[in-house]
Amino acid sequence: MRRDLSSILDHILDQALSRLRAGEPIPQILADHPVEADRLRPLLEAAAQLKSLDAVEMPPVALQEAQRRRFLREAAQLRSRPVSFTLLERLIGWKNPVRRRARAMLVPVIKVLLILGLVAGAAGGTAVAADASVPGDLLYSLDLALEDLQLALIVDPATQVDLQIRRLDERMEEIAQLIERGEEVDGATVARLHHHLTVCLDLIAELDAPEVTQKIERLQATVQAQMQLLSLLEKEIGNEASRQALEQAVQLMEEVQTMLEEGLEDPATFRPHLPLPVVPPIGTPVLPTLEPSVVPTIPSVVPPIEIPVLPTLEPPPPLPTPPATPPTPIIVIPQPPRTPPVPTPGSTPEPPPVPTMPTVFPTPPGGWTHPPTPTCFPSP
Amino acid sequence: MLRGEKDLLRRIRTLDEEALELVFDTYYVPIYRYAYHHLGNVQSAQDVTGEVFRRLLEAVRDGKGPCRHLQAWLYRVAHNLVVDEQRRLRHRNHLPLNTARAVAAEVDPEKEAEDRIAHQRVRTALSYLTPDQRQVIILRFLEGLSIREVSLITGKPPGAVKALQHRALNRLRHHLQAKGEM
Repeated sequence: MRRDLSSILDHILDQALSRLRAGEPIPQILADHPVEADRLRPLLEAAAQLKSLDAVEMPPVALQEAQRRRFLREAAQLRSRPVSFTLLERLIGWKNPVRRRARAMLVPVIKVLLILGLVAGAAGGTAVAADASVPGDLLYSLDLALEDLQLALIVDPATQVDLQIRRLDERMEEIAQLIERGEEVDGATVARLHHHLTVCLDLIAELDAPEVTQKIERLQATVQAQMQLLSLLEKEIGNEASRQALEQAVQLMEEVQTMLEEGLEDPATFRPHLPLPVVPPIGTPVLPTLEPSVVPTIPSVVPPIEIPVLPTLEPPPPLPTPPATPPTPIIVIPQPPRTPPVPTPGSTPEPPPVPTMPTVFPTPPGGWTHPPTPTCFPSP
Repeated sequence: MLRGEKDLLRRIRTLDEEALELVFDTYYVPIYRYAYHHLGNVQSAQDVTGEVFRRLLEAVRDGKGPCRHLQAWLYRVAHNLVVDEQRRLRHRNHLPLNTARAVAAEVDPEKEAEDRIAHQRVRTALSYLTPDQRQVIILRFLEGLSIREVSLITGKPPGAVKALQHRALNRLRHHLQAKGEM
């Protein structure tokens, strides 16, 4: 509001000054602005004082004429100058080949390059931030993805081993950071350790004999250092879940340590036992499983996921049991054909109808029968 | 403002003699007055004015120069040269504004003395303004340019020019009152 009033006064003053310059007397101007008269008067009087500066001492006419002639002469020289450049201009042109107009044309290009540079810088900053992230952070997935990308770009197995060992250190560092923060170390983190170790062993098996020993020694040193670190970290853990995860990690490291010691004793036997390297997908938190034929098998310390597959059967024929007895659900494990037991009164109540599902086992001739006792498993 | 400024600019770019004569004859005195009001020195104002027109030729030669507003371009160049000249004079311990003034032979000596004193007081008060305020006052009151023309020369919006003008007059009034002129 105050700004608007000030703008209005600026405008009124400007109009009044124009009239003053046109020769109108101040009282006549103020009469048209009675509200602002008190504020306008001193300003108009100050402006009127400026008239004393109107008179300007001009230079002699001869000098003015001389300047005019010089100006027109220089213009004529420019008009008559040769089209081609002089030798000096050529030299200057070579020294400064990018003329001002060309530089002006380059400005948008430079701007685009600057913007791209800023974007690249921001992406680099994000990558650096992601590299310092730990499980549970927003950027941790990006960190894993970048690691996968880096691994995918490497062809040499020896370099891949080195990179996997470095990843092992990073995983252990993440575990240490989680424990320092008081956060939980989950099974997925240990599974990543397991993954890197597995891939590492597979890659080492692919190497030539001299490199096998070298890489085993390096991996052994890393594992030893990590075991020491784990033993230190175990003392700081207050979380039960983290304790279990670390125990799994320690167990894993001990097993790998044993394998590596055996490998060092006889590298020749270390290699042939391993199948052709089948590198599982890198970076997946799922615990990879080794082929059963692999001798240096790492015991899976992560509890196996049990998928309950319940074979369902055709609904058995109703048994002559007393209807008063409450039905008991029975899970039946298929058995080889047996002699159907003689139903006795009060033995097995009638089971409820089970929804039909694909049969896992072939149905024996004569159909399935119930075991004689209402237990989940057949009696021996 | 010249008529057909666009056509004139096109002719200037081809170094047309008539166009250049027209430009010189039209703008020599205003540019000189502008320089003089700032510098208060005939020789310096004349040097600045000559340099402005020389810069115009250089700009045309280099394919640059005014694109749309010839008058604003000339005043801007003049202002830059004035600033350089003021800096140079300051280093030489020259007074920024002298008391030189045209004297007509038939003027009454007593009135002339009074006028000279008043002239000097106003000029001194003018020297207390900020450079922006002084530029606006000179262009607006001493050169009689419109708000739009001043806006084009200074590169400030018209509203800002009006505000500058208002503040400049307030400050001028304050200094003139302090000297007992009002």
